[in-house]
Amino acid sequence: MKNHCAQTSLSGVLLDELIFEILSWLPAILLLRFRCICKSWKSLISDPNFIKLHLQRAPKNANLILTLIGNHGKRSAISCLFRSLLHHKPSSPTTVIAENLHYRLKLMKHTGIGVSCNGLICLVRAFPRNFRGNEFHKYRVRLWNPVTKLFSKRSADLLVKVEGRAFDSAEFGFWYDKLTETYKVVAVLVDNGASVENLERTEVRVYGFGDNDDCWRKIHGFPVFPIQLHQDRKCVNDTFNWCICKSWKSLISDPNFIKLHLQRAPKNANLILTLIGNHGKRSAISCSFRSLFHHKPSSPTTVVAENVHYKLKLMKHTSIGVSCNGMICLVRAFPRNFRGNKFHKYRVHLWNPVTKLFPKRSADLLVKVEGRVFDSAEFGFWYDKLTETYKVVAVLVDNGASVENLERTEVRVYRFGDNTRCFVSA
Amino acid sequence: MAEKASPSSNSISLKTVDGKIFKVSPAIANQMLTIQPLIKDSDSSTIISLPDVAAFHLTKIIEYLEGKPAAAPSAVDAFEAQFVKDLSPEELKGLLIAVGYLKVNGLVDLMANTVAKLIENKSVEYVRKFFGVVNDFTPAEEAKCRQEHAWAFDGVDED
Repeated sequence: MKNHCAQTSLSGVLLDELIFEILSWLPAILLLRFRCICKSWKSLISDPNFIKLHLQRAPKNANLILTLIGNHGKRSAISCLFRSLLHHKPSSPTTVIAENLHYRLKLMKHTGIGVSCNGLICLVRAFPRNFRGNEFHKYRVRLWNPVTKLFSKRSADLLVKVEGRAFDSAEFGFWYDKLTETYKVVAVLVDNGASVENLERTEVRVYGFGDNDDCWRKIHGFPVFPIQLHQDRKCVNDTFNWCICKSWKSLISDPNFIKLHLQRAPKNANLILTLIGNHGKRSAISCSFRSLFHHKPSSPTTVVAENVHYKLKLMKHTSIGVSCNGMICLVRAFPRNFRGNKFHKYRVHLWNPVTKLFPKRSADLLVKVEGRVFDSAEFGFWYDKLTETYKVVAVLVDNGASVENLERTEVRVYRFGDNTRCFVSA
Repeated sequence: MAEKASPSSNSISLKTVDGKIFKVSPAIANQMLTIQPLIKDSDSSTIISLPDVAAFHLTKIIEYLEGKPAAAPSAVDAFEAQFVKDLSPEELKGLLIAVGYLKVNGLVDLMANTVAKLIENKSVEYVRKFFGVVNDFTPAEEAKCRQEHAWAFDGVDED
């Protein structure tokens, strides 16, 4: 073949497969914008193979979900990009939130925002108790994509016989099952009260979006165990925990290995359960979905029992927050009587439920009360690739957090590993 | 895809679109997946023509393959950041095309990621111009497409 100097213009149109590669690195919100570039980009962006690659590569945890309460107590959820909240593009956080309000999701009564996985959020609707003559609790689940604003179809109804169970006694988690390529939702139904005797009626049910049998299957053999699931449970990435030999050990703690592993490891592999023990003492444990459902190495009871051994004891006023990269954000909200009621005080820890390690706790975040309700701070966090630090963002909302009155919304940022050690106003 | 050249060591000769000939070791050439099958059948006198690759691009590709640190990924990150630092957007695009054509190990991801950063949060118009994409929507279709995801058009960076 001689001098096959094709006349390809190097600055001309890029090949489709290269466009595919480029777009796979962009945040989802930009893909929505770039659907309008031309027809071939539009079809590429909705291609299932592209979506899979994009899930692997795209920035994780780019959105903060806020719940706002409007007139007549009507709640709505909005999603804001961390990036736009922090870099003031195009303008102040209040403006960013106000813009997003326009596209808010109105939450129906009794609908709660649950865990997230792969950028999807689990919305759980718990129907009022008087369903079928008070004999059943009814739940229904949907997945919501806060970026595209699309919903999954709703799940089948989950009916649970009341028989002394407390309402709101079902806790939901979900994850992406790579094998079947479907999203699986797990509901853990707990008995009324925390007493050891009637916990035998704790049950686990699983629903698969896209499965043929449109029902909540029962998983047998879930722990007969003094556990109560509380509101707090989040799904997190799995991380490593093998100790084979010295060279493996040093490899596994290599920061570069950890980075690569974060990219590749199964996402959302653990379910975090909060247990309430004697005297109301709470602790958190993490179980991998795999061991819960596939009974490896043994029954779920054993799995949970083993994990209880390594439980994290939660301090008073500490709640389990969002997760990112397998880390969980623990937020401690100090009681109101701090400094003569003039300030709210918050402190944040990150916790790795697999290694059980804590990085340093954050500096204290002090917020002047001035008519704000307590618990008016919402926390989110994400991994900033550029600075290679975890950043925590606190959005402080005004009393009532009303949709109509956003003026006193404030955003503060804390960077783990930073020298400044304080929450900076964004 | 071969013409005779003076036999030297067992290096591979690559000829760019602008007529320059580069001699590279088989270890380097083997990382360009597109020409891999040609290397097997060639001897030291073979010249492989690269129709989509200019001398500038091949120089950069060889610089990457020879310079990339073998072990520590942190060194790789630093090396890759330095590698793309001084390239203009036009050079980046050209290099991406060359790298895509040759299917160079590891370099496709780096280049695609770097180009992605150039268009992050840009307007639709900017991106069309940047890639030379022809808009084949009718105005009505485009308006509908924008309408569907109106929230994705807030906060666009200036071009």
